[in-house]
Amino acid sequence: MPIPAQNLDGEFESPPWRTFWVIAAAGLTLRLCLLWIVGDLDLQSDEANYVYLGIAWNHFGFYFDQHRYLWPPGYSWLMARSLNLFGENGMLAVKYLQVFASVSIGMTTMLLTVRLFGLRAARIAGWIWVAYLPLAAFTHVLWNETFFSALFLPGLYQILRLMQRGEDPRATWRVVVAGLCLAGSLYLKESPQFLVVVLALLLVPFAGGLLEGVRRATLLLLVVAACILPWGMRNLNVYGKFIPLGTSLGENAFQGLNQDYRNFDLIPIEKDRERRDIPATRNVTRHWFDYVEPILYRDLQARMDALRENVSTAMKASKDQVAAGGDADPRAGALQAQLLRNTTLQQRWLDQTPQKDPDSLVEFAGNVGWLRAEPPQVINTAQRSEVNWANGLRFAKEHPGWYARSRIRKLADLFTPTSFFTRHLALGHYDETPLGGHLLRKLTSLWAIACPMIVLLLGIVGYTTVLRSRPAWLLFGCTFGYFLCTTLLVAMSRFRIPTMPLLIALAAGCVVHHRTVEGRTRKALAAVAVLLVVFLWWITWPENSMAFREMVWRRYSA
Amino acid sequence: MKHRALILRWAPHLALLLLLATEYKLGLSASQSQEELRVALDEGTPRQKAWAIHVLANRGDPTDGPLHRMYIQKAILDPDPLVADMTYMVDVCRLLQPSRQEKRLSVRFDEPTKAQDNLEDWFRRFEFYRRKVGGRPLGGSLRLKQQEVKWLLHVLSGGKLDEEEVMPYLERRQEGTNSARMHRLAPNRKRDREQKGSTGLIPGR
Repeated sequence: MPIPAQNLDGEFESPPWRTFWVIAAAGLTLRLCLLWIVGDLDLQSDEANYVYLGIAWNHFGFYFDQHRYLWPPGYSWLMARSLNLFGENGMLAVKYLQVFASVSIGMTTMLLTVRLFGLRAARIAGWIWVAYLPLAAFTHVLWNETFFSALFLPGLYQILRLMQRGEDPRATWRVVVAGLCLAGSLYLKESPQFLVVVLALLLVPFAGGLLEGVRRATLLLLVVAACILPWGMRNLNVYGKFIPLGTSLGENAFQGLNQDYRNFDLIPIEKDRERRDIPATRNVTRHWFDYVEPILYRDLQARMDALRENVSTAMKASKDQVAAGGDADPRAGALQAQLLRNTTLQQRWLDQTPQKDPDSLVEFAGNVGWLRAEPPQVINTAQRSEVNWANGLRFAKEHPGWYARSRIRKLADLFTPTSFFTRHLALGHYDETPLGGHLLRKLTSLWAIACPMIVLLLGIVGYTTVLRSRPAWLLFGCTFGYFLCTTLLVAMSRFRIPTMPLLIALAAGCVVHHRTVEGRTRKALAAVAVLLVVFLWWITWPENSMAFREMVWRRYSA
Repeated sequence: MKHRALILRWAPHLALLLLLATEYKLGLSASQSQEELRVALDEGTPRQKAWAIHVLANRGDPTDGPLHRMYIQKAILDPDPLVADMTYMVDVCRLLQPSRQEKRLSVRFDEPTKAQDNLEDWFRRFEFYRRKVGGRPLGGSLRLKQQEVKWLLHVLSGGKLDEEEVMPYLERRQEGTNSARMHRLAPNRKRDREQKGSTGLIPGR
């Protein structure tokens, strides 16, 4: 079966709209059923913050920042309008809206696939989207992933069409639609704001001429700029600094370029385990990837003794200095704090039953990381973000080895087979719903784990083997690369959501066209990609398996 | 004819550049000077006052601005509930240690008979204040729950609350948290002393 994207004449199979709408309707029905099954779940994590911001917007008449973040206003605005219209049912109304918006994701997935891999692959991609539980689950929680993807993906699709068609009589219209979609998505998440520039640059070589390429690229940038400038001007008025939409860079640097390892897939699970007084998943982590100064547990005592001696010497020297009329040595205080921290950590490990393995890695708290910038050092959220970002960069430069190791861990966090759906199951958020029942819980949890595992593997193999359209290869590559770069600060399963429909398209292409793969290079690349993904799963396996076994699988069999 | 086609192809660019210039101009004209904000703070409607507080607290160095200790303490007692509510939001609480606000909130737990605000005003301020992204972020475990959202929306639309229902619920929520300072909102004098700078402007948290 020939791969349509190899056809460079610009002739593609026209989408079978009826089939696509049937599949989209199936996806819509499944998501509606999920919403009816789980009902209006109570608010978790950032959901409560969005609702708070919406209520405050209605009450005071303007949008507040979140002290540590300045999120783009789109989702809170929607929440505010919905609460205004529907009162306490406003939250449920947003969820219904998300269910309907998710159709855009399904349709775009199929449209992308039909252009790249043909009708059969598009049908398969459509059904994968229908059954992809972690994506479907985002329609019944109040996170902005669904709306963001529903706007971002059609924008990408239009860019792909422009890149594939070259001379296109409807190019201007397509660029405007792409710009509006991308700008709309930026009002929900500001993270791809620089990707827009990359996408504009990608338009240049595929427009059939340099002048036309420049025309399209600048038009895209102008459309996006015209959409986001009003909010940027508003931010300039409030913060005295032009911030196009929002800023979370500084806080993400605090979370990701700092001593403590943070992954928001696991943080609530750790808190829940602490509350239930069961061992933390942190105990089984492969610490080589995240400790700033990992040492063997059996070497800890010797290091502690050396530290005690250092502290004692420094304190004595400092006292002598003060006695001689000089200033106290600040290093002595820092060493003392370090000793205190290490003693506390060591005591925690000593209290554990069973005892730690002598060969296990533990943290020797030689560096305590850095604290967030707070007033009066900084005036507002924008300035705080700048200072935190500078602190994060400094910390990364001071610890290059840790930086390299911990970025591997960030990649592993992004590729983890778990999702917010399994996190919700583990935390018992579905307990009051039929999904919390014994059988459904086990079935859906396995299903939710299988979805990303299959799609990630097949999608990456698909990218390296069957995606032969150069524009698509570049577009997908730049998009994946961009989101990979953004997650090098803070990573979790949620951050890969916008790219999953692209991977679904590639997975479907791989299923349909894998037999056409020729050449050892492509096969070798695919093998390396698979090994890399498996290696990343191996990194997160201890915590994921522990949390899944104890909080999702066994917890309810007792 | 060829030129006309070329110009037409770039017409959207020209239109968008004009739009951008207009947006920029409108944005600049909508921007208020410090003086205008000061006037709004003194003489504006409650909404204008709230907006002026928001901007003055965020733009530039507020140290010598009109949002000084006296103003904030007066605003806490402002007869307009919107202005008083604003003193429980993140903008004001990060400017000046919100000890007074905390005291007014905690008194309903400790000595309900001495509560200064009626239940509805108190509940609204308590909910705005004690939030992860609110006046004082006390940790994720005290984020809004749906029950609180329902009460808050009810209060915001002018409804009345049942104290017997609300207070035990809030007590239970505070007890169910694992953060050190969540059980009570009483002012922490030791921390206040440590954090207070020479100017009286201290970190909000």
